[in-house]
Amino acid sequence: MKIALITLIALTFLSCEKFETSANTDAFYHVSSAGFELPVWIKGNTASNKFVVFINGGPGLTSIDIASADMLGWGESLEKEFAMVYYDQRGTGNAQGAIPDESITIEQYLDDLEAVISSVLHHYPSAKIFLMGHSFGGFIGQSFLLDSNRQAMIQGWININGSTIVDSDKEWQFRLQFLTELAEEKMSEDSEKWGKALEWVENNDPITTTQQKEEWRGFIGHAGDGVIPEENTNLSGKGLLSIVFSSSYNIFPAYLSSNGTKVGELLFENIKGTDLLPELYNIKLPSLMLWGKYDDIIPPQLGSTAFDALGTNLDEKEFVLFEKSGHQPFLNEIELFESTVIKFVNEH
Amino acid sequence: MKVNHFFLLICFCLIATSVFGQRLKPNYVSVSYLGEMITHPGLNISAHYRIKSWDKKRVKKNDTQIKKDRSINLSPSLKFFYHKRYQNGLSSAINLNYHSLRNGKWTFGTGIGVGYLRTFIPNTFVYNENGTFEKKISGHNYVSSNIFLSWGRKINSLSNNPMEVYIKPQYWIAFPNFPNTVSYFMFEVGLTIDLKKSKK
Repeated sequence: MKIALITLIALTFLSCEKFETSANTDAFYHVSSAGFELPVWIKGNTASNKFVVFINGGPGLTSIDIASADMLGWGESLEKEFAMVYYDQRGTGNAQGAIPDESITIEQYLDDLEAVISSVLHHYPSAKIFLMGHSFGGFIGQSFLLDSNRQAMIQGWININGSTIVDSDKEWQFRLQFLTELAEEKMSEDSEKWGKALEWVENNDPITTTQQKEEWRGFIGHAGDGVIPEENTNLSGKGLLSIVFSSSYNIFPAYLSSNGTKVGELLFENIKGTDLLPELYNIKLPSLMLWGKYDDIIPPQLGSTAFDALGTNLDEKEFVLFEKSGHQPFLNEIELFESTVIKFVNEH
Repeated sequence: MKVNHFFLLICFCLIATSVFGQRLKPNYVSVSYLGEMITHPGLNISAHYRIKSWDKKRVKKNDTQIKKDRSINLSPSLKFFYHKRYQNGLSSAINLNYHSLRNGKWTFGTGIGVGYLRTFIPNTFVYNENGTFEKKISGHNYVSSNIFLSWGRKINSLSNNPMEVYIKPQYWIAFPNFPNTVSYFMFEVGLTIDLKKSKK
């Protein structure tokens, strides 16, 4: 018993990570925030002194597995230019411990993000930190940046189809606008269908009821790939085997658990009705907003409104519309996405 | 009242080993490789106490005789695993298992167990309220339960201490956890040594 305990503690201590400064850093550790451990992985070119913290969406999705199997292909692009920082959010993936439901709040998520960023700065004191949030990760990132002290930790903000308003009538106003513009564009392809859509829009402003929301979805199609087919991540059989058998991942809590669903429910309940638009003028950082033109989840009309609302000087913010993308431009237009992000980070 | 989980673990192990180990010599002992998700290595040591045994014979149509020796066993065990960059685990458990030996050669078993799992999370930096970090050994205490199947083969049956090689896939859950439990798949490959071969 004693020997086993000593062996395990020795193994725990001996598994030290090297926080080196190199073109190919691979440092994995845990940050204990409010009593629970979040896995953090710094990968790539730390010699650049630029670190991009990726905040995944969902809520309830994971990041460490993306890095492990290089599902987005960033190992050969973004990570060559600068260091990427991946972490699993509280209650998701391989975050550990009997996390209480009460701690699944946006406030705690922001504290966790601060802990992750601070841990990077602890290991790399002169690091320039960029935040890159996708979808719900965009909501987390913008909420984080509304605090001036936290904003001071960050060099630049990259918002990929990030949410700003959560489940309110105002959000549906932007979706109504999205349907109008989509119908006008597609009219020549199917005048009957899209003519009906325009007629429906005229009679359904504003959208407030569940029935209206379902009818709206009926015109658009399945969420996320109604207009632009959703691309699969770059997960090979080898990559999958690597995640299952030779990575840091325990796949059960990551893929075969209801934790993501529960996190989603708890967080949505926590932030339901929140509208960040009136506060975005407080964000004055260099900002890059990347949006798929056919994103039917968080439409570009909302994205451009959020862009206008930012307090950043016009010459330090840019809105890039991806003409052939939906909710995930990093999968639909890979080269454009990567080159745009690399250019932005290198310039700031 | 705050419970010292390490104290509970030690009590649990002491009770398990004293009740069985000091008063009764086990019928079998096992030593095995324990792989969390097969590839993350660990070790398992178990003692097996036969609490009931019986046999059954039948003759097939071609006059072949089939003999099955069956037993119910109680098995305290101590195990650990090392999962790089995820966690290391130390567990003490008691399993109740059914074991069947067919014609003195092939074995099959199944059972359930309950115990304690202590995890150790590598490279943890604790974020303090004043914004500083310190590296600490962190981890969590869980109740664990498991269910398993096993298949094996007796070797050197004629010796005084016949042995069995076996494989044993098992499914563990650890709780309380988020949202309720966290699961593990374990795969054991091991050797069981018969310490008290019964006289024929």
